[in-house]
Amino acid sequence: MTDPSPETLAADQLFRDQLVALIPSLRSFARGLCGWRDMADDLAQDAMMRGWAARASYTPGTNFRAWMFMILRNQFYTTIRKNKRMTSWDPEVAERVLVEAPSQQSAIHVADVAKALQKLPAEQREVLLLVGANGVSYEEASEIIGCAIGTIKSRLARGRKALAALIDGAPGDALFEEVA
Amino acid sequence: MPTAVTAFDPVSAALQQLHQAVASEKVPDDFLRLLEEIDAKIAAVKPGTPV
Repeated sequence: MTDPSPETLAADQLFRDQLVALIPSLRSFARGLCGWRDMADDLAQDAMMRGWAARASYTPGTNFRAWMFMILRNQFYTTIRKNKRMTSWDPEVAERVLVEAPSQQSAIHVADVAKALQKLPAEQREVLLLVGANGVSYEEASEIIGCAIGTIKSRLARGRKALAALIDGAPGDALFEEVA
Repeated sequence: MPTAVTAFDPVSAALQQLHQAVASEKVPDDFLRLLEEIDAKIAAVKPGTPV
């Protein structure tokens, strides 16, 4: 076997560094998708290993985040077909953090948004996580999910509406609170 | 010149905070071990590196 070229070694090192930088986002996306901390971390690590194994098919200079998110997403859908538990809610995520605007009368618990997210169809949840939580552009989300930008926008709108309805309509959880 | 004021959206803020909460966690050791494996693979193919 011949030694790899210096260019290949440099590309591998760059790939590795990009993976490291992306770990927080991969963990966050995975956690939002499956709502189960340990499984989410397994999913993120699996995606990293698959990405590393497939690095030869990545074109340097193209969107690395979109490429890795696509791998993670594909792995998620493959896994949930085999494991129904991944759609359940993880109480570990449920820190009772209150998000409020200083001048507003209503507030919302982050944990309740996380809980409501898990009740949404996966196609809406993933768009909310990508665009709403991770700050991914419509174009990038379209690349990751493999659908038209218009579809991303409509899923986002439907997802936001469904999320708001779930939070607003959830009985007995005091999801919106009056802020003194 | 008036500046546009973006209305506070608690759902968007909560989604971003969800992301931040996970992203700011300490990276579990499992991930570091995985990176060590990758580092070892890179080192193993470097010319002159004993296998």
